[in-house]
Amino acid sequence: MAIEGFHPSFVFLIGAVVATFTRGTLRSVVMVATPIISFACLRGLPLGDSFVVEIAQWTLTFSHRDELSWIFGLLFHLAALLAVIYSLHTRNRMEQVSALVYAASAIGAVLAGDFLTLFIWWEMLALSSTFVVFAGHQRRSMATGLRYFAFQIVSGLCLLTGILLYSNSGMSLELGRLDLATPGTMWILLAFGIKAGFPLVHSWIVDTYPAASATGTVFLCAFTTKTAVYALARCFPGTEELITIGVVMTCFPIFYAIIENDLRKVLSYSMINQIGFMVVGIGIGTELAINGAVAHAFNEVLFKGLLFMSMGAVLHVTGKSRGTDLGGLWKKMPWTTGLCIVGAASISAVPLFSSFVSKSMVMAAAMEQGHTWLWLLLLFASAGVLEHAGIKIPYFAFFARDRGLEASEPPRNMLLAMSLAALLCILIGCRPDLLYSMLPYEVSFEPFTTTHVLTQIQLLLFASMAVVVLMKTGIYPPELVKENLDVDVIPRLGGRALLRWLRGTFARVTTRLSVMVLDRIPAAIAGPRGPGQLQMSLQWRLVLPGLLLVVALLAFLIANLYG
Amino acid sequence: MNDFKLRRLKTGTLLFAIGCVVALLLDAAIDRHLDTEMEGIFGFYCLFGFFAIVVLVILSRVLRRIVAREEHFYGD
Repeated sequence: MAIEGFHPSFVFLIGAVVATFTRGTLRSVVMVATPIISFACLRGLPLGDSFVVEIAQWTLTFSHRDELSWIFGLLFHLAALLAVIYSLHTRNRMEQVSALVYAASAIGAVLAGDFLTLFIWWEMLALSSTFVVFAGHQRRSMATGLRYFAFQIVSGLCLLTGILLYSNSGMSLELGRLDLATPGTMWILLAFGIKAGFPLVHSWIVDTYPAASATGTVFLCAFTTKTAVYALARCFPGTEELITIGVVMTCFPIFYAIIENDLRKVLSYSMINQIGFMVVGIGIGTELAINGAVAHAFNEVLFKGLLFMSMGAVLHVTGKSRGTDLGGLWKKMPWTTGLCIVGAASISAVPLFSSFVSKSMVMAAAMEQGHTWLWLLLLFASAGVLEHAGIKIPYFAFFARDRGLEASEPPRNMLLAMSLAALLCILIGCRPDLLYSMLPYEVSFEPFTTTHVLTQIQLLLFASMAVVVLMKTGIYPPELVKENLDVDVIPRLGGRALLRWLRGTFARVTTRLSVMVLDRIPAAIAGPRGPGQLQMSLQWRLVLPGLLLVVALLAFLIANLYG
Repeated sequence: MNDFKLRRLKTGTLLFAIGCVVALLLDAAIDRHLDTEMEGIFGFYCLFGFFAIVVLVILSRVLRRIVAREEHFYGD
C-alpha cells in the first residue's frame, strides 16, 4: 500500500497533535497507526526531489528519495513502530507525544534534500528528544536533560555555522558529498560528530540513555545517533579521518563497559562501540564498506533496541538496572531472558544472528584496502563486544547470584515488541539477502563462507573461555557501585567552578556596573528619586550581561550573512 | 548448591570445553582462506580471542583505578 503526495514526517506530526488530545485506548490506536500510515506515505514518495518549497532566495527540499534515504526511512519507521508498541502500557503523555515529534524529525532529516532543511529537522530532533529525556520523571532526568540539550544545541550551532560558511564560499546547499578542504565543512563534520558520539563529545550518550525512562531510552537509542550516521554516510564517505575516529570509538568504550555497573550504561558504551564500526566503514568509503556501515546501522537499531528493551523490562518490573542489584531473574522472567539472549547473540555476531552478516562487511572492507592494523583493532573490539554485551548483560541481569527480587514477566506489549525485534534479528541473520537487496550499492559479499563461520566461532568460544577463566580466578573486576569519570568531568566540574565564579566575583562586578548604569546615571540625569525605585533584582543584573552577549552574537551573525 | 545443579553445571562446562577443543582442531582440518600471513598461524582466532579478553580485562582494572570515584561524586 502506498499513499502519494503526503510527507511521512507530517503524518507523525499530525499523529503527535492527535495523541495530545486523546487518551486511553484511542491514543494507543493513534500511536500505532501513525508509523503504519506514515510508512505508506514513505512508499508513495517519488524517486528524486519532491516537496520543494521556495522561501525568499532559499529552496527547501523536504524529500529526496534514493537508496540511502529509503533504507534509513524504512529503518526509522520500523524503530518507531517497535518503540511505540513497547511503550503502549505507559500513560506518559509528554513522552509519547514528544517521541512522535522526535520520530518525525529523524525521518525528516534523512529525507532532507538540502542543508537548510536538514538543519530545521536537526533542531527539532534536539528539542523533541530533550522532552523525551525530561519525561523520564526520574530524580535526575531534569539535570541530565539540560546537559543533553546543551550538547544537541552546540551540534545545531556548529551545523548552522558550517552551512553559513559553506554557502558564503559560493557552494550550492544541496545535500551531497563534502570535501574537508571547503570552508565550513569542518563545522558540519563536528555537528554530525557530536550527534554520532565521536570521542571527547560522546559523554552525552552515556549520561542520558541510562537516565531516561525504560520506554524513553528505546526511542532515544534509535534515532539521534543513526541520523548522524546517515548524515556522515551522505556527506563524508571516503573521508580518511573518519577511520581513525571510528576505530577509537570501537576500542575505548569496551574498557568502560567492563567496569560500569549500570547495565543500561554498559549498553550506552556499547552503542558508541557499534557506531564506531559504522564510522570506520564510512571512512573507508568503498562500496563494500558503505554497504557494511549502512547494514550495520540497520541491524544495530534492532539488536540494541532489543537489548535496551530487555533491560527496560527488567527496570520496569524490578525498578533496578544495576549489576549489583540484579541477578537470578531467569526463573521469573524466562521470556525476557530468552529475548535478551537473542539480542546478545545478535550484537556478538554469532552466526545466523544479524551482526554476523553486517559487521563482517566493514571488516572485510578494511582488509581489502590493506588496513591490517585497523582490522586487528576491529577484531579486538569484536571480542570486547562479546564480553560486555554478549555475556555481561544477560549474565548479571538474569543469572549470576539470585538476589531474590520480586519479579514477573513485563506487560504483553513489551514482550511483543521484543519478540518482533528478536524475530527480525534472526530473520536478517538467516536471510541476509533481504537486507542486502536494499543497500545503496550492489552486494557481492558472501557472509556464510566456511572460513568466516569457523573463525567467528573460534573467536567467540575462546573469548568466552577467557571470561569464564578470569571470573573463576577472580581477576575479572567485580561489579561495584561507583561513578566512573568520563571526559564530561571537565565541563561538569568546570561548569560548577564557573557558576561559583559567576555568583562571586562576576556578580559583584556586574552588580556594581549595573548599579552605576541603571541607578546612578539615570539618577544623575533625572535628579534624585526616592530609594528603591530603580532597584533591580540580582537575577536581572546577572541576566543583563548575558542578553547583551546574545545581541552581540546576533549582530555578528547578521553582519556575516549580509557582509 | 544441590547435587542436581552441580551436575548440570559440570555437564555444561564439559560441553563448552569439548566445543572449544573441536573448534581448535577444526583449524587443522579445514583449509582456511587467508588474507594475511598471521592468520595462517594454527589457532590464530582462538589465541586472539582468548588473549584479547585477558588484555581487555587487565587494562580495564587499571582504568577502574584511575576513573572510579564514590557513587555520588557529582552530588546527585
